[in-house]
Amino acid sequence: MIDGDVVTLSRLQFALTALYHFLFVPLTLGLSWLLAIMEAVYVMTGREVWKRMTQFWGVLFGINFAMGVATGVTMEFQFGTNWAYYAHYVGDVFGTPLALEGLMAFFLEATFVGLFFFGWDRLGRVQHLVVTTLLAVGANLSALWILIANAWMQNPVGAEFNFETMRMEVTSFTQVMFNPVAQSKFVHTVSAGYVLGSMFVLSISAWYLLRGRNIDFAKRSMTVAASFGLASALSVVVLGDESGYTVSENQKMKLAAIEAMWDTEPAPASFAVFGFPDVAERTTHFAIHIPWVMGIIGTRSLDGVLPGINQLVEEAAQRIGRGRIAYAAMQRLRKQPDDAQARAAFDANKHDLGYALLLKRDMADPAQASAADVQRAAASTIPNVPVLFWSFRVMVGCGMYFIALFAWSFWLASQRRLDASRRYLKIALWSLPLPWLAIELGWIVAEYGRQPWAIEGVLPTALGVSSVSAGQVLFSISGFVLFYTALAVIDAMLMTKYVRRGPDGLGLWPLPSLAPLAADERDYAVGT
Amino acid sequence: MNAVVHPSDRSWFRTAAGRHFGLEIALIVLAKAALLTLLYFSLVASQPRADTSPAAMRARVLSDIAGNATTEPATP
Repeated sequence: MIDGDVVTLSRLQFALTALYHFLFVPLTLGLSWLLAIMEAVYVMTGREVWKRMTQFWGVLFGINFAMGVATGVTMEFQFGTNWAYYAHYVGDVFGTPLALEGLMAFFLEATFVGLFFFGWDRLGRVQHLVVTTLLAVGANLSALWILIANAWMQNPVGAEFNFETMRMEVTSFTQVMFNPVAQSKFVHTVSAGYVLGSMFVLSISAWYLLRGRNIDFAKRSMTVAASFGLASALSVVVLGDESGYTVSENQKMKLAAIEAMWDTEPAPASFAVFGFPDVAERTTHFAIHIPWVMGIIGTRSLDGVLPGINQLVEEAAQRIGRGRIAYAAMQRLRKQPDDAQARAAFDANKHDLGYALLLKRDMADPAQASAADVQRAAASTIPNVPVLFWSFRVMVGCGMYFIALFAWSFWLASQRRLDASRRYLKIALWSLPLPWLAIELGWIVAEYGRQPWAIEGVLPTALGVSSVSAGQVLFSISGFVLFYTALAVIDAMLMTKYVRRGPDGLGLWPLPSLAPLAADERDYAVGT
Repeated sequence: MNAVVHPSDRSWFRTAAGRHFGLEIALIVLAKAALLTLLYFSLVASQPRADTSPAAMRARVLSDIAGNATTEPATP
């Protein structure tokens, strides 16, 4: 039997730290490319204002980087304290991607961060641009490796369970690396980071325009943010669609829960725009459906069938049955490794072994489970439908809003009318929190939707926790919450301080030394 | 290209404001490293280490280790 409180608290602790860490990461991903774009314009035109723009947004990038760096380390602490069995179970697969992520983040990325700040006087223009570009590449590569590890939890390819060592072992690292879920997840996640970076620049620049400060500086920044933001927002939606397609192939229950699709619909399935999912009744009240859309998105066809939750629960019950056969065969094999009959039974059913382990939450021996126990375990494969349903819809709604806002911004920038409408500037300013909201909701859809699995179909989350007490986990949660709250306060204070001072208050722009220059030279430096 | 050569090619990060910013960032990183170390020794290292030996893993996953050995599943 597994202590349910320990499982819940351990999950809460990991979720809190991951959600907090993920406030910083996407901004680093997005801002780093915006810095590279601004500096590229400086290198191409030689106009000082673009260099100063790179340095100002670099200051805010630096604060975000300093506050965010190592906030993910506490998650690795938790692998050891709260998730020791999980860590053992997946260590052979996770070791390499996590090590590479560490190398990318702490060596490649951190080295180029240092060169970015301290290399302005020591490197040539092109050399410094290469540094800034490599900073962006390093940040994105570190995200790639962590997402490869995460994608393996959603779609565990390239590894097999070894009953002698009682863990998953890599059979093909190529498959782990080129996991289709990893590919779609990576491009979707980084492009969401680009949207956040663009919105960050757009909103803060809008604030300057509303205040009548740093006009040239802010308008140029907004032009870059609008262009990059529009391309990124469109990419997020297209790549998110691809991500959804991989979910429909590998995590059918997650997709059915996101759609609150209780029963299998005739192909092509409809898309529920709105509704109130009722878990107890297994129905969705006041549902508004758009015909065909889900079937086309999920299967890329008109005749592909997407199974409903009830049918997937029945399928899970059958898989639990096969998993129990594999489980019993495994026990026999451990006693008599040359038992050919047990070996054949294990090989035939080993892909469903994880389903038998779902029963371990409530009983020591899955073989002793009654029909009711099996049905209960099968029903436990349904994630939290209302949370997934609404998280997904709010995320998608935000995505559509970003396309509209960046398209509007792009049009205004092309007309050189970015400061013409105060209403637009206020909308741009108040949109600042939305990409963070969308990104965190996306994380909830991906990870909360994976429950009850730590590794989809292989290892139930409950089986991965350490043998610790709920009190111990509660104690460490309190410490982490204090630590992260202090960091959040310092981060907000620092960001606000530097944004309020702005390029003018920091002496970045306009340059006092430009005043003695002739008017035409000054205009050239500014770029007007 | 007749780009204006700026009178001061000195990086902003070398000005007084830039140096102050650098100092603040360095202090934050140092304070964070210290806090994380403190957190590790007070919350992580103080906890009993989970037994993840192969024997412990077997005991967690397999039922026969706990003395509940069965060979075939009961009919669901």
